[in-house]
Amino acid sequence: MQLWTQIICEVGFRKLNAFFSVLGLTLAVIIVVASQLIAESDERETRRVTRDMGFNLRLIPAETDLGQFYRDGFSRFAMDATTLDRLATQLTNNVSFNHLVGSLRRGYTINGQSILLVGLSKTYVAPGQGKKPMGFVIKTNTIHIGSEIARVQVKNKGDTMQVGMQQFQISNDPIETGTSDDITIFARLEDVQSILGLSGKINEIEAIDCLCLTADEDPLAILRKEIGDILPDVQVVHKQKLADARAKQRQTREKVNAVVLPSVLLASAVWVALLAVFNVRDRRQEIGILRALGKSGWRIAGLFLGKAVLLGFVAAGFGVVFGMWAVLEFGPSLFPVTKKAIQVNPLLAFQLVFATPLFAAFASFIPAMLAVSHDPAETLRED
Amino acid sequence: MIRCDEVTKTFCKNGSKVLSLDRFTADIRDGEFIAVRGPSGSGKTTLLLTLGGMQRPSTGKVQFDEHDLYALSQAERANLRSRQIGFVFQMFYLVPYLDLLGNVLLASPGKPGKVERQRAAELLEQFGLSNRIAHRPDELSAGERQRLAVARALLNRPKILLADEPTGNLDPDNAAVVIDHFVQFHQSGGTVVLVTHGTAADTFANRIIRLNQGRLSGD
Ligand SMILES: Nc1ncnc2c1ncn2[C@@H]1O[C@H](COP(=O)(O)OP(=O)(O)O)[C@@H](O)[C@H]1O
Ligand SMILES: [Mg+2]
Repeated sequence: MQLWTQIICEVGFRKLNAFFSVLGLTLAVIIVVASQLIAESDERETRRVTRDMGFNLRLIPAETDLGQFYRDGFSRFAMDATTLDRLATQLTNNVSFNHLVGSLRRGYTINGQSILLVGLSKTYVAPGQGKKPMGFVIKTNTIHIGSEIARVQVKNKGDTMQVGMQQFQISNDPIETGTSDDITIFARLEDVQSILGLSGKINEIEAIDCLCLTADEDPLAILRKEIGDILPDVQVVHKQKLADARAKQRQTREKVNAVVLPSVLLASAVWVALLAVFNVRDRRQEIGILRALGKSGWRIAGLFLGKAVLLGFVAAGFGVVFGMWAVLEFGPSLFPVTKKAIQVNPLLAFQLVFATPLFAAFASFIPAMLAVSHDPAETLRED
Repeated sequence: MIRCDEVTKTFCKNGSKVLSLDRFTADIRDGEFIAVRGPSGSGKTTLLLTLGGMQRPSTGKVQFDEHDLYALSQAERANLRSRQIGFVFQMFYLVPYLDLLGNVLLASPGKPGKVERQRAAELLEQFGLSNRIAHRPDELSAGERQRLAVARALLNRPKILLADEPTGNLDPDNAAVVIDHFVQFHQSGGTVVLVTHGTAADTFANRIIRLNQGRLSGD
């Protein structure tokens, strides 16, 4: 008799035992799948939100007076553009910030309208992170203008506009944002440097801090230290509200990972182990006769571990399919994520298909050893 | 074929010692048909399990052909059991979730091949069970179950059959049928050790061993 044939026959015979084992494992898989997918979509959501809202770290020259900075929206001082390069080279070193954009910002007047002129460098991203650059990319000879500028200067997308000595094409649809962006012209850094006669200069580096710092670690202190070590002559301004919201999300997720998931896995393992113990008790006579027929301990253990593996596979299948479906279906109404941020995760599914049988076998290990060590003479002498 | 030398088995029961076999010495020769008799609790089952390598004696030695049975490793003993010894018990011990063919093939030491399947089918035919091959044991009568258990014990053509009150749960007619199969096995050259309460086998047995409180009290 082949091991797997025997296991399948037994599962078919003691359906209830198998059913409850599969149920326990499936529930665990569903919870793992759901929490993982929700966590991933949450992260995607956060990224989307921060892209919309911009950068939350601003690095400005150390001598800047913050009163002036907040009043005008830019620092009156400048730093060398090489500062940006120095910081960018550190992105390989597992620092807590990313997405560096250097800028040169100044107040400016166009046809009597006082505006903010901002030159943006390209975005420096940590290698291997392949993320889309944040904000917008400005093409050569183009500018982005704010809605108020468009209204006063009577300009629109596609029109040309003179700034300083240069002609630019307007490449955006000027939409009112209700922020200082409405009175801002975004241009390439080199263009603004030449317009202002400040070649090789910037006066701000924008960045985004990683999603990894929790509030109780005092992220600002860590960021200030990291950046201060590289660039002693900048000061760091952190948009606290945005950073806090993200840190809170992150902490909730970590709590789930640290408490809820292990509890679920433990409960599931105990459940599966108990059912396996009942199964072993039910099958003492079978174990006795198998021994009398000269079967090895491996074979006996194989019966129980093999059963666990088989049920684990079935549970992984059900759990992955049902868990992913449930998250797609009910996730948006139960968790603060939008439907478009939720995505199925084939890698996770693949991992669970292998991990669940292993987990079930692990949980059934002690019962299987009970079966192997059971003295067949005890049962076979019953009369 | 099996030699017992001063075999003693003691159990500890609630702190007090129970002597289940007491310096049992006997020689079981090839081709014998031995009936083991004795009152309940006299050590018959203990003797049978000890002969079959299922229960290590407290002291003494069991020689199976050229092997010191309990000096072998557990795996070697299991291997010897699967190829040379057939067990039959009063309680049948059939596997409830396998059909008749599956129950017989369970005795096959490795993956059952064509030869084993053929042999199993022949045995089921011989035991009058061939029309129920796909049934499960719980659909059988007691007599049929015990015939199935004997068929299973015979699959690997063992040299010796060890039977513990195989007719204990059967009516006289069915008991006679089962005993008849032991007789056939014996006639074809097999050795039989049959533990029994009744006298049904006495006419066929060529030797009767009596046990009393673990001691050999008659041979
Ligand atoms: N596991 C055990 N623990 C304690 N005593 C046992 C155990 N197995 C058997 N005995 C005792 O050994 C004696 C012989 O038992 P057994 O060989 O089953 O006798 P029989 O088969 O002749 O009825 C009995 O007194 C029984 O109570
Ligand atoms: Mg007995």
